[in-house]
Formats: sequence, structure tokens, C-alpha cells
Amino acid sequence: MSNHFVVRTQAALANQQLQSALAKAGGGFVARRQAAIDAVDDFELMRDQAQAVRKKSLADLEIYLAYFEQQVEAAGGRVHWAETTEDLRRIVIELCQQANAKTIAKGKSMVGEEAHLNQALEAAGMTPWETDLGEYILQLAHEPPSHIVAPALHKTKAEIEQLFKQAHTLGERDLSAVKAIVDEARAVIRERFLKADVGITGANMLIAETGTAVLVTNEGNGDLSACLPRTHIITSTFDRVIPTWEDASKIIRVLARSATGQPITSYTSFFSGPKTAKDHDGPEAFHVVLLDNRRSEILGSDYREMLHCIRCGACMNHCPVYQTVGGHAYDSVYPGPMGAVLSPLLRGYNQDYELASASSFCGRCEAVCPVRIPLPKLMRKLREQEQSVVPPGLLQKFALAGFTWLANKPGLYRRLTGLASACLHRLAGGRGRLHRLPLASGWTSVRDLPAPQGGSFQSQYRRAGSAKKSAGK
Amino acid sequence: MDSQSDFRTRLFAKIAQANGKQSLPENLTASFQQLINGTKGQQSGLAPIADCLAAFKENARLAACELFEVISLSEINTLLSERMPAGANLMVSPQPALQPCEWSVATTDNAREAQWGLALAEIAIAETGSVCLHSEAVATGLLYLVETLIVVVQQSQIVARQEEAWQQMHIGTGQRPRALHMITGPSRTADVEQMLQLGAHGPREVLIFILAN
Repeated sequence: MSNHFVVRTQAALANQQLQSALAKAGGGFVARRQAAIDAVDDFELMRDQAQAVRKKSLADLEIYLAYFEQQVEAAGGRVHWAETTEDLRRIVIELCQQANAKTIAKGKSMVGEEAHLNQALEAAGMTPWETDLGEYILQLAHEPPSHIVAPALHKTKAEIEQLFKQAHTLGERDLSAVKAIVDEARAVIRERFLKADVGITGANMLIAETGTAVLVTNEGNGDLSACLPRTHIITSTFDRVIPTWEDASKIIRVLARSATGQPITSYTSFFSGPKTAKDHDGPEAFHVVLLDNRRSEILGSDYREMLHCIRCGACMNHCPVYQTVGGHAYDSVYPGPMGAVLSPLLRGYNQDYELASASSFCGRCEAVCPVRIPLPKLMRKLREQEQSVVPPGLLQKFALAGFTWLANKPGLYRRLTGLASACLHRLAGGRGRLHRLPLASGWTSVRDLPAPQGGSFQSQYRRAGSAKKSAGK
Repeated sequence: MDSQSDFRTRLFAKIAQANGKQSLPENLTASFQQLINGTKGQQSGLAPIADCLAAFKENARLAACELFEVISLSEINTLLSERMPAGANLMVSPQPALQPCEWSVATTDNAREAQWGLALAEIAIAETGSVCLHSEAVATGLLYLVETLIVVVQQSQIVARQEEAWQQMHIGTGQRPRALHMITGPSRTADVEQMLQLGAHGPREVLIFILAN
């Protein structure tokens, strides 16, 4: 894949299946979120409460995090600390080996995706089974997710049907109905829950007061992965810790409404430690693996508010850029506006800085963010930072130096811009638009350039001012 | 493991520094309790819900639950004999309140052989039509492996909002079920072209019996 966003978008725009999938998904998310918000009286208050929880959780994070660890251990579990994605892979593999694991049922985990955990588990001789339908489809297709809530959003039904027919040896059958696809996945994956040695899930939140991992799902695969295998491993990051169950409720209220337009998902589950003598079932071992991967640097930087993110995906559902090119064009597990901020901060790849330029700054991402993260402001900051990380090319340098010189000479600037607009006006003739212009084919190949009509803003302002004066006399 | 504990030390130092602090407090528990004093045990601060029963019913229906209001548990038998297919097994959670009943259908103790499950909720939440069940009372398999899940809710157990549910269940430091499941309607997925399909990995149907006080 190209290192350049613009090149990747060309392929996305030309991909008709992707464009058809995006068209089907996009508007639905927006309409469902709006309906869910209209159905309650106090959504803005819910947002204020959720934002306040994220803010206070980070303000005393070291205390909440230490208390969380203490409580996980009090419940009989263990917390593990991973500085890098490589550390996370190593720790998870060691835990799986301790459990003598051959097979692993996996719930959806963005941290697992961030660390490319599946490939590492396979390389270590184990078989990871994705159990979330979207993730399962992508595992069959050998593709990364393109959306943080709906990972297979870029796949059409026809493509999924094809993948299932290739992967499952069930003979000729009709998979044209969505129900048939879902039922087939249910039957195949059901056996895997029952057979898996280890279950790996993510966590939407970690509650300090009881050492609890909160898991929000619709399919029920998270609960089955967490409770049926002998070992439950949770892959998450340290910044997910919040103080209390009351605080968790504040996040839960805005999460599903913003993500899928549901008041709440079918399953919101709270897991604390391994099976006790009082339990009917549950895992014998309970591990929480917490990844840093530069988040501790974000905490001490101007980008701290990015750690408020609760991963609802509303920003990408409302982003005109994401809706046009899809998630894969971002070449990161975190796409859309939140990904444009998070990807360069987590990975430090130079090419990630250009993602912040993939924005029209329309501001919808900030307007819909349930915890009011100022995404455009953070993207603007990244654009500024890009200048020092990725030095501009010679042409850009000369152009900027030339403009600076000219802008410092107002008389010359006025004369030159006046001359330029008069030339363009004449070139356009009576049509008022330019169909073709040398050196500007990037613009004119897809749309006409409107030609200036009359003088510049400054000259018109001056004229209007003197007209007012003479009218006043 | 040494490198892990080194990193843990460095991480806590970095977080404290980012928060303008020197180090962790000497008495962690006291500091934590002091920090949560302001919010622990508080109500939601949202608009009051006047009629919890009505709100619970409305929201549970929106989440695709079927609702029945009964005065005795034995009324469940009527539905079982009408709706449970021949050859299907019912798994009844071994909760004391469900034991005195005689069930009119075949039962099993093994979740893997059960197509129908029956359990009693600890508590129900009006704001979303959710029921809460935990691992000390009910096996996970019963809640997630069956095709049809029946949950009995005592009307007096319906609270307005989540915060009240946590408080009534006395959840807090040291007090925690291993797993608490807040269930709102049947299992579902929209991973195929964002078209909603009920019955992903868990129950295809959730039937709620509200037992009058």
C-alpha cells in the first residue's frame, strides 16, 4: 500500500464495491444516532457527565490505575504491563502457553488489532478464532478492520456470501438472506466457544473500585469468549480506567447512542476476576494486559484530550472524508477523524501526519463527539507539528518565501492581484468560468474555476467606504 | 518479568508527572476513597422517571423483548406449552424463588442441551428496559447458549436508573459478582451491510415475565 493518503484514496474512489458498501452504511448511522438522541430529553447533560468522567479519570489516573491493579489482584486476577505492542504480543503468548492453549476464542479488541495479535498467535502455533461476525468476516478475507465499531463495513453482502461459501464446507446452500449468513456464522462459531482453551476480549472501560472490565457488545460473543474458556485474557490500555460503577453508567449512556443509535447495546457485562466457589461457571484464570504504546506521552502533551475518546465511531460516521474513501485509506486500525489524530501520536510514522490534512474542517466530528473532543483543533496542531517533523519540499518552501516577501509589500501586492484577477476575468470571457487553465489542471480537470467578477475585496471595500462617505455628505 | 516491573514503575512516574504530581500517595486506599466520595452513592442527576414499570415496559419492547405481566410463576407454563417446540429442553436456573414451581416441559441441567432458559433477574432498570443477572445466581451458558431466554422480573425490583441498581446490589470495593450481565433484548448484529438481524450468538428471543408484587 502506498505511503501517501492521496494515492490510497484514488484506489478507494475507484473501488465500486467499497463505494456501494459506504453508501449503504453511512446515512443509516447518522439517522439512527439522531433518532436515539431525540428520544431522550437530556442528551446534552449526558454528554457533559461523560466528558466530566473522562476528565477526572485522567486527572488522578495514577491513583485509579494503582487501585484497579490492587482490586484485580484482590479478586484473584493479574495485571500485566506492556510498554510496546511487541511486549503485549509476548505477554499474551506467554499467558496462552501457560494455559496450554491450542485454540483461542477472540472477542473484538481494537488493542488486539493495534498490536496485530492474531498474526503473532498464529506464528506461535496457536489458532485464534474471531467470534464477532464482522471480525470473523475479515479474518476469512485476511483484511484489517475499516471501522472501529463496524469492522467489516466495507464488505458487501455478496462478498460475505462468497467468503462463507469458500471457507465452510457445507455444500450448496442459499446464503442470499442476511439471516442465512448470520445463522451459518452462529453455527460455525458456536462450536468454537465450547472448544476454545483461552478467551481474549477487549474492554470498553476498566473500573478501579472493583477491578472490573466492562464489555459492551450486541452479539453476545464477548460474554461467551469471556466465560466459557478456562482462561480469560483482557487486552486494553491503561487510560481506560475510571473510578466507579456510577462513572461507568455515564459513559454507557452516551456510548451506544453515539455509536449505533441504540439506547444501550444488548449486552453490557462486568467481569471481575476468575471463578469463585460461589459461581456456576467462569474462567479459572483472569488476566488484564495493559498497553501503553506512547499513550503516556500523549497524557503529558497538548493532545491529552484525545485520551478522552470512548471509541464510539460517531466522528467517522459523520466525516465527509471517511464517508467518501472508507477506513482502509487511513492505513491504520484507527480511521476517520479520531484516527487522524491518534495514528500519528501512537505510531510516529512521518506519513501519518498527512492524515490531519485529510479534513475539510467542517467540524461535524467535534459536534457529534459524545465527550466533546476538539478534533479539528487537535488536527490543526498536528498540521503545525508536521512542518517540523516532515520538512516541506523545496517548491513549497520557495512558494511560501515568495508569498511572504510579496505580502509584506501591500502596494505591489494590490497591483499584482488586481492584474491577475483582470487577466482571469478576460480569459473567462463572458462565461464567468474557466474550463481549462495552465498549471491548474488539478482543479480544472474535475470542475470549472470561477473567474473573478469585478475588483478585489480590498478595492471594493475602499470603493464602498468612499461611496458611503459621499452619501453621508 | 523484571522488565515488566521496571516499565510499571516508569509508567506510574510518567503518569504522575503528566498530572503534575510527584508520586503515588502513601495511603492509596484512603486517597482513592477520598476521591470517589463525591460521586459514590449519588444518583444520576438526570430527569426523574415517574413510572418505572411503564418506562421499563416501553424500553424493553423497544429493545425487541416480549413482555408478559403475571401474578404467579405457574402462568409461565401456559406459554411454555404453547411455544416450546417438541423435543426442546428447558434449563431452569437453580435460584430458590424458581424451585417451588412444577414445569410442564422437559428440563435439563446442561446448558449445552437446552434450547430454552429460565432465570430470575436480580434487578431491572427502567431507563433502558434492561435486566441484570450475575454469575453467582445464573450460569453463563443458560443466558447465552439458549435460543429463547425467559427472565422473570419482580415488579418491586425495577429501579429507574443504573446508579440505583449498583447501589441496591451493594457494588463497591470488595463487593462484586464475578460477572454481572446487563441484558437488553435478544442478541443481534448489523455486521452485514448494517442490516439488523436478531439472534447472533446469543438468544434469538427474550421473553420477560413481570411478576406483580
